[in-house]
Amino acid sequence: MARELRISEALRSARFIFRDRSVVAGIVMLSFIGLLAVLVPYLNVPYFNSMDFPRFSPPSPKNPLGTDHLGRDMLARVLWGARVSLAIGICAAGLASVIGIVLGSVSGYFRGRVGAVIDGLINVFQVIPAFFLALVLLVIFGSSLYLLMLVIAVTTWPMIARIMRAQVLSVKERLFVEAAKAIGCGDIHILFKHVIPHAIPPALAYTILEIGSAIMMEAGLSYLGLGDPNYPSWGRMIYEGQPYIVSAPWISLIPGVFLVYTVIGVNLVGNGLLKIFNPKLAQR
Amino acid sequence: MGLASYATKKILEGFFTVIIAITIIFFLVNLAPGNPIYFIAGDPVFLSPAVVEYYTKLWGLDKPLYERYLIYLSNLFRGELGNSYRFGGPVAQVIVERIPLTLSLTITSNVLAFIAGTFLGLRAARSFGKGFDSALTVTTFFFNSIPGFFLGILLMLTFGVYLKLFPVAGLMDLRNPKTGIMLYLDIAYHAFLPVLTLTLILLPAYFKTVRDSAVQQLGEDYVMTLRAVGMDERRIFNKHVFRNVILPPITLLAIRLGFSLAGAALIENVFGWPGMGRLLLDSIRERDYPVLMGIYFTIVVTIVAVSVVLDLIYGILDPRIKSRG
Repeated sequence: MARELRISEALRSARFIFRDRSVVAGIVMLSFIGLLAVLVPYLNVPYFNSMDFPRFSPPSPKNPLGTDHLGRDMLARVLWGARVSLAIGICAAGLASVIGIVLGSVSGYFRGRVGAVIDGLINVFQVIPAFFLALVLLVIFGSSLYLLMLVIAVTTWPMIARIMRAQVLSVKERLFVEAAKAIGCGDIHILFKHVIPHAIPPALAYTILEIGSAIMMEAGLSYLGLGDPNYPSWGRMIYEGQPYIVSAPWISLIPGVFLVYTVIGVNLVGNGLLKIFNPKLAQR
Repeated sequence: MGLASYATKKILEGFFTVIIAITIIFFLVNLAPGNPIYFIAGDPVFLSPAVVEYYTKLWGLDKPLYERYLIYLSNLFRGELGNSYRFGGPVAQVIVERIPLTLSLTITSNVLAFIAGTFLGLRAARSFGKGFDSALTVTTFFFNSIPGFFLGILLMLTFGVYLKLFPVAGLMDLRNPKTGIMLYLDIAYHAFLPVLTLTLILLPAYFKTVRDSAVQQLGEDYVMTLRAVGMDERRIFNKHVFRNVILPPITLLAIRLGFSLAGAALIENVFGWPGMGRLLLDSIRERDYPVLMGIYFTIVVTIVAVSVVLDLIYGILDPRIKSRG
């Protein structure tokens, strides 16, 4: 019974979400790039690191998006780059959102000493410029995909934590929380079973926006030469094309176009959801 | 809570935030693998042990970590940031040289973005739902979704390389050095593209805050009353709505000015602008840790100071904030 109720509720909110045109547009844009990223190993494109083609050849029937300075096919690299950029964006934002949601709701629910410590942590992380810290960490510990994800997550969670904290603060005053207390539920049970499910939607919408920022941050870090050199990511391709920006602009511009396209898609979905879940937060 | 104790609390909070932030970066940098001496002097194979020992002593790397930490903190309290590994001179001097160059980019573009964003936001709200409003909303959405460095590359290609209207990179024309007022004009000419890039990137947030809250104001009773008495639509916006929507963008401007020392690293890199961002990247690459930590300290102190001042101003303007802590 309860499950049926939940499913019909989910369907209703899904219908509600799909009524928003910008969300639908974003989902269409993203599913296109996502599909390409998932299917690229099965598509008939050259291996992304094989240097079998003439160098610096502009878009042609053989290489639809041209080749780069090492004679690698740009189409293959851009599509494999989609895998890397999307994976980093989704994993980093997911991790940041888990950290942010847990710490934010704990700090909102348990005021007192635990809350104060977490608040302090949020404050400190908020004054440390995220990009700066990420830069230092990557240089010091050497770059790899996993470190990139971790670094982006560690430097961006406070925003989600703050949203979650504000949400929990208001939800925990609601009557059903009092009722749960009255029948003797424990704090942890109330927090995870009753408070977080009601408080979470804006944080989830924000997580989607965070995917866009994570992709942009990865691109920025890679643009400075701090990305993982073994895999093509869009930021890394822009970085590699930079010396030839005048003679062979497509090397940088094509991955840039894909990057902007994807971030636009993510922002359309994220902003739309934020508007639905919490009109106040959408004013960003 | 009285104003004095509120102020003390905020200042103490800010102080501890700075200390914790410094501690984090100090241990990160000092626990990092690799000896900075090798990065600066070269491969250990070609170095005599005497040289290594000399620099280890000179930079105080022979002492245990906690002792170095305490020395660093006590130096900071005396306003000493130490000496650069690379340049030999005091870190403070290296940093102070770069500050005006970065601030001239970031303050200019923040103020421009604030003015243009507020103006356009009000204008868009006035034609809410019409073509002008949608066009602006779409445009700012686009600039919100494009990474700053990529926009910089696009503008550089368009205006610098193809149209040849503006210099591609650098601070001034080195082949043809100018003096006096012409030098400043030359620098401003070179700053045009980086400032344009930053302004376009910063504008969407101001636009969106102002537009959305102005649209919200349209439903308020006072707007209806003013319309009913036949007041000019432009006057309603510029005089009455304006006052009610201007605070959030001012707050945003203040916060962003706090971050303005850190904010332009990528754009400075695109346009070869020799500001703090470039110094930061160079000192990271060369493992010049004193400069790195000096930059970090300067940035964190600025951000915290701005936010404390902002809190205090709000505490004075709105007494309710104080009681909430």
